[in-house]
Amino acid sequence: MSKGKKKDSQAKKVTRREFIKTTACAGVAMTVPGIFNLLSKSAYAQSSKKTLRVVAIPHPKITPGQMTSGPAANVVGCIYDYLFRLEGKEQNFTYSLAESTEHSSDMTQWTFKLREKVKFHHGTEFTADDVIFTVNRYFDKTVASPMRAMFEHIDKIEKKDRYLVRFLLKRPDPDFLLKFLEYNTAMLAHDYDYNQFGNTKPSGTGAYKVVNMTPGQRVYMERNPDYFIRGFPKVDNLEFILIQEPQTQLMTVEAGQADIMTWVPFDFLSRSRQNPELTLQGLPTSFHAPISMRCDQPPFNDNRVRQAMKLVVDRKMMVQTTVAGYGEVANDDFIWPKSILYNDIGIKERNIDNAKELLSKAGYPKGLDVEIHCESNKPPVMDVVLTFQQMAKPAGINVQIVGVTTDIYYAKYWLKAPVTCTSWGHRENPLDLLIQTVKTGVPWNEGHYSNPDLDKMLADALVEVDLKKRKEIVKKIQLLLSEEGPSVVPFFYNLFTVTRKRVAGFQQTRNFVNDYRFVEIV
Amino acid sequence: MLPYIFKRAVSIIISLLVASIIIFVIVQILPGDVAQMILGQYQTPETLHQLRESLGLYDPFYVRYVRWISGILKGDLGISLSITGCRIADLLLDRSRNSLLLAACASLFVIPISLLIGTIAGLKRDTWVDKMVSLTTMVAISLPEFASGIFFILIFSLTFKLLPAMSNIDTNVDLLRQFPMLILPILTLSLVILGYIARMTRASVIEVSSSNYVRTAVLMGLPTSNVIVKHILRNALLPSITVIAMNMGWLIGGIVVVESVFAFPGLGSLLLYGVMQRDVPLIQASVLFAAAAYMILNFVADLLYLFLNPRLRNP
Repeated sequence: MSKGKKKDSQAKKVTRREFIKTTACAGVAMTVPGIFNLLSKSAYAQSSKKTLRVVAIPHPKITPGQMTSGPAANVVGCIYDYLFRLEGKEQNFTYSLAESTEHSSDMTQWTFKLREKVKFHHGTEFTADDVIFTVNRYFDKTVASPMRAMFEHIDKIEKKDRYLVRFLLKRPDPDFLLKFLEYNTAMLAHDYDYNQFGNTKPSGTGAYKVVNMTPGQRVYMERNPDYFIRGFPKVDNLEFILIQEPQTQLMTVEAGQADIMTWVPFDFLSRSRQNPELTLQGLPTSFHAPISMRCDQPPFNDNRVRQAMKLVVDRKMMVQTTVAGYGEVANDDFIWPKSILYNDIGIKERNIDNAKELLSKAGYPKGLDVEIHCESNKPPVMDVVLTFQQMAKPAGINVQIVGVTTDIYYAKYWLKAPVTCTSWGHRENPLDLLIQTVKTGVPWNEGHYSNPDLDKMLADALVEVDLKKRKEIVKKIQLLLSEEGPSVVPFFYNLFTVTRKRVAGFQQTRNFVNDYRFVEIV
Repeated sequence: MLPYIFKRAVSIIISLLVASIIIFVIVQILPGDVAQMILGQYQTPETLHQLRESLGLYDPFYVRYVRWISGILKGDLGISLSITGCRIADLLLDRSRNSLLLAACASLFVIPISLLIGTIAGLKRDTWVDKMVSLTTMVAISLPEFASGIFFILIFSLTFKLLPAMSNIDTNVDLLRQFPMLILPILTLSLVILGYIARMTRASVIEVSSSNYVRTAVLMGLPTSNVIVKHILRNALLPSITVIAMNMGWLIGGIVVVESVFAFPGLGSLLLYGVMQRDVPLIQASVLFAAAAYMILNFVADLLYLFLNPRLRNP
């Protein structure tokens, strides 16, 4: 063999070591996709048709009557039930644990006929004793219930028979039934120790029973086979996965590890809409973020300054920039346009020249420095304040924003700072909101506003049983608040839920008590 | 050795006591009132007074401290104010178990890799291998963990649907089945730690490689592998132990960001939740627990150092 040919054959010869190395590398490379394939098919990754998974924020308390957080009702509404509910896309008032109601002509007596043969999870039957226990508990000082103020006008509760209970009120209340739509008014059993077990082993009449609860992490429930609506709920198991961060919540749904996310922030709406695996559901509500000014100290004790602050706002633009257009403009009067008590009194247009003139007459010709304290971690509060800051500049109102977390805000600035911006939840009855916020001396009067005329009108509206007359009184209230009220209320905004396509029948509600009873997994 | 161990143990106890005072003072001077935070918007003067009384907030500062510390010494860390009805000791045990699991998995994965990379970079100093390693580790250190975490989720969970996005493990379910949930947080944490350990190892290897005894070993004709393993690595890996111990402490109590991104139920997310809810007993207990973990791990690292380096046993 020639030297050239010998060299070629040596060059072509593969050693045993090289062969083993190459084969091993190829083998490893081939198994990598296989490993990933195995991972994706692991028991964990598969979603079950029998379990509905909902992401929610961790909730400190879930005992009705003591809850201080609306989102906790997401969980509570599954375990417990209410005398009345809001159902369907139109959020119709529906009877639930109450079968029917009657009232006296002056609306000072309300009689509830209760649904029979409804059982609590621990076995006892729901009766009039439980309704009486639940409501009386609001007045128990050891419970420190936030519901107390709402039901203070109850004079007496009578048990007429096993399934009949009568409320005797100190004054007429045409809206008495609406009070039982509050998320804190779920019915409790009079023979169960909620002080000890309320947050760890709750017992209600709801569609789901708690199987196990890992505090701050997850709540796992199974369907209540004795639920009073036969054939429901449809889904066998319900799992709440508690996650603090909205970003992580949404990614969990996008990745298929959860099926439903409620309270979707506005920043995430377009991303959710573009995802073909998700369905976005919106609901108009009376949620709002007013900028409230203290009327008991300068400069806002001068109504001209308050009016100037209201006139700098372009309300339609603010709805676009802060809540992506998903809201309704408001006129600083706190009355939601979809409420039956609402009167259309027109919407204030932005008017910088008028604002400057008012400030000048009030003694601030060169403008005004304003510090607004707000919750920085509760959308859309920060966006509202930032937008207001820019809108107010041309009028000479220089806004400094002090954004702090919710805990510091409520401890240090709420009700104290000269100007604050707070997130307020939905009220079915707008008068409930007004008596909590603008009536003289009430604990949540952010603007420290006091007007005897307004107090009288509120008192009259609360007890007026004729709807037409009521609307007329409310119209006067609207005009007064729009003109000289303590707050800039630029809009009301919607709430959003995201569900995966396999979920059908879910309905978000305005009062936080989301309805999982009729949900199906397709 | 024993006197040293005894002395260190005593100093840890004193350090923990000092840490407990600092933690207590800092939590007490946080803005806002615990009772106001708990009741939130629903506070009234009567309910505030009632709650403050039940929490003992009217007692003097030192009485509250002594009550707290004596409870800890008896093993009673109190009841959580935010996760109502739960004993803090149970919560910490649960969460620290999860954190230890994640820390152990991340350590098992990243420590061998980073030691290997650092060693190779140190031995191949100033070559393209060294430069690649330096660049990679610099990027790994610079990248914030929330950014890398979200990036991994976007790629592996949302785009290729290979791994779960959320790591909210359920201790009632078989952990092996849930292991895929740990992969992304492990990768994220590994990226953070890789840089520190690899760079420390590289620097050590370079320093030891230029020492006289290594030169002697080479000149004596010892095989290269012998020189690397018996002479270089044995001495070069010692400083890395301290870095590893500190990172272990961080893995157990300090990975709040990663736990938030992945919803992992560890000590960090428990502490974050306690802070947001102004759950003072929970905050105090969690911070003290994390401080104790750091101190104990550093102590173990020092002992290991002593064990591996006989020169230090009898200074």
